[in-house]
Amino acid sequence: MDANVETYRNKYVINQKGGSVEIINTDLNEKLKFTHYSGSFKEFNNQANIELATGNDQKLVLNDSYSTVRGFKNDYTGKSVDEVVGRDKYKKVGSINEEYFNRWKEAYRPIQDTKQLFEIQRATVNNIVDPVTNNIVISRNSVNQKRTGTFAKHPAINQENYSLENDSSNVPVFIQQTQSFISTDDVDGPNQLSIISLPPSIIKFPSLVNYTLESGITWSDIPGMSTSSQDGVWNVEANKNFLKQQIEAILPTLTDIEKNLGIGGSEIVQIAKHKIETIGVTINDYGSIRYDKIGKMLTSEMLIDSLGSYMNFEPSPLIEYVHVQDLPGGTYDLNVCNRWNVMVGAGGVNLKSLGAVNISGTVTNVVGEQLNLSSENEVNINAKTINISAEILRLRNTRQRQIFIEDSLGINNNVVIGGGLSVDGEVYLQHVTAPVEYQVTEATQLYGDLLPGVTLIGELTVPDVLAGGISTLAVTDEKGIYPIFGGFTAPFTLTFTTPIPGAVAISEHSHIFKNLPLTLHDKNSQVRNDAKAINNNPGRAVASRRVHGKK
Amino acid sequence: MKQFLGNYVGIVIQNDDPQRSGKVKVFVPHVTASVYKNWIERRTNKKFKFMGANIDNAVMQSLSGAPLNQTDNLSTIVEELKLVLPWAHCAAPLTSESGSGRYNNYHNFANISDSNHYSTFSQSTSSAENTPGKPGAFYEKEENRLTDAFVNANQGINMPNPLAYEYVPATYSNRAKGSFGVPAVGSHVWLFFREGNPTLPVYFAVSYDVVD
Repeated sequence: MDANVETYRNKYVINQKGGSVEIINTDLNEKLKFTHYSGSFKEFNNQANIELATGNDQKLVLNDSYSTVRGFKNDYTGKSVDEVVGRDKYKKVGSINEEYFNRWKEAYRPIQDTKQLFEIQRATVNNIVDPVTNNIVISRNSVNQKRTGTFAKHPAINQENYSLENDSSNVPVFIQQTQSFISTDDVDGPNQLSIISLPPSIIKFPSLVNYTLESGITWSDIPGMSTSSQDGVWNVEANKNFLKQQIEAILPTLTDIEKNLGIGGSEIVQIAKHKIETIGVTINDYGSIRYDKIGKMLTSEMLIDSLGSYMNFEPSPLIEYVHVQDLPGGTYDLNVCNRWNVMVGAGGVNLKSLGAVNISGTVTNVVGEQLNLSSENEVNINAKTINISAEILRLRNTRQRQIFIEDSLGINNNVVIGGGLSVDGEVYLQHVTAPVEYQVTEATQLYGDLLPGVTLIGELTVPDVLAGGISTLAVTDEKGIYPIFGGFTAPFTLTFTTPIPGAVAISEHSHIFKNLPLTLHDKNSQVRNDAKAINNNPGRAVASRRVHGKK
Repeated sequence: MKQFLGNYVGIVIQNDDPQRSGKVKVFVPHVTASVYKNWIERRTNKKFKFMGANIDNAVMQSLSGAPLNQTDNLSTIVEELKLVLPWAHCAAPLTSESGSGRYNNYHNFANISDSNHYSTFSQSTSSAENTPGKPGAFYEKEENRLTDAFVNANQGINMPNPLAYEYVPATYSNRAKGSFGVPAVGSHVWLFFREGNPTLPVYFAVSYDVVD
């Protein structure tokens, strides 16, 4: 043993069967250690206070307990943790220094304001402002947003579309001029009439004047200019080009502020299996709505009556919100100041409530491989503009009734109707293509005029006609009047010098002509009665067969 | 041989008992003054409080700190004293259980085991290491060494514990019971000589001065 070791060494031990006390006096290794029979010990050394409990470790504090760890605190539990809190539990992570967080936010706000600018100066400021405090409630635009430039021309004016525009007023003149020609064919004379008008051509319409009248638009700016900023010519927003410089300039300030935000401030939780949180003790199953199964009367379809078409009304459930009294417990408030990300695996997300569910955001996106939106009662979609687009776009009434459109229906291209069509108003058509039906006109007796220059050649037989023993016939010339006595027969030539209207009568007759297949009724109501086939008809109203003949 | 009866105060000059039984060597000036001829012959005041060249036992020092006159310093003779002084046995205070073993009068059985199980008493009592003892001694073996949960950062630990292995109890299992301490070199202790024989010193208490 080296008697002259450099390090001072010494220790003192009290040893008993039940435990031992060890005091190490050795330089740089000073210890105070209490060890129990079982091996449990409490040690104080230069680096740490160390404790080992070979059995359980328990502590009862009848009043308060305080534990302060200036450095890191590391807890490990090999099995489960059972934590019971009699009153409230508070947990604060990081330096709750609101002043510096606000400073950071306000320092960066000008950059965010620049980010919010459009790339072009196309809009005015449309923020929602509290009328009392004048604070911005919803920031829709940068406060520096400007509109500088010109609107495009209104896209509704002078659109290029196919149009038919022909004048048939000269056709009768043409017919008259060619009457002699086409009349030479006694059988197919009218077939020689062939006047083909111009096909549809692309032209620009409507004009500004027409559009103003037809649309009822009120021009707030220059007439004819677009009422939207789309496609306008706007100045480029120069401030967007300085975004990089803005960010670089603010970084030192942000860094200085962040020094006061404290290190850390986050909570990272990793759970191998499940996490179950139960807020409150009993479920709030109060009624959250009031429900009248037939509380609303809604227009549901168009029906046809013998006097006209009318809207049908059918009952629909009426549902109203009911204020739900909060229970003494069971409210879970999650205040996320910046962003909330929820990433869930293939197990999915179930969000269910016995009360109302409100989801809102400036831009709210709901996306899925399949999106089902359904309700036992009513689905209401309301917006200033609703755009629905799909490769296959269907509307289907589960009762196989009508799809009711309360206002007018405008279709840019075509309509295909498999069944019938009932129009109680006027139908405006440019052209009809239909199978032919040979129809017969009503029997008609015609009367014709004798025209000047028409010469009649025949034989005149004049019987002897006496009136009171005196012949009433006479032949007159420049030399005098010569009574004719006794009847006679003589050839004559009669030429008319003035027209004689209605002098010629033609026997009653009719014509056969081609026409659209028609079913004609004397009464309007008869037409509607036929159209009633559409009412409550889940299938197609089939077209009537062609019946050639007199209508 | 002259008998030295009664109690004396001495200074511990060596405590590294090679037998680890707590013996120390104690210099008692009243008893061994004549042994050190070259030192005692100097007629100057002697200070026996403590050893060490850095304290005022060294009466004069050069500017460089080297002692100019070490003749008054106990340190100058301590190595010689170590060679001639006998080891003084310890007479420690009685601290509850004492002794190295236990005796069961009912079974008339002696053992050194600290185990609670009577069946183990019959085993060998010749070796403290091989005899069942305090259960805590289990954790003192290298193969049973405990660690906490913060050993390795690769196991998802944010902050590894550099003392993660420091869970070794000090049970002193199957060891003698009592209070065991070795006075430091320089300690002033009371001692007596067994049967007055100065070669059989026994120290039993500590002495404090007003300066302590």
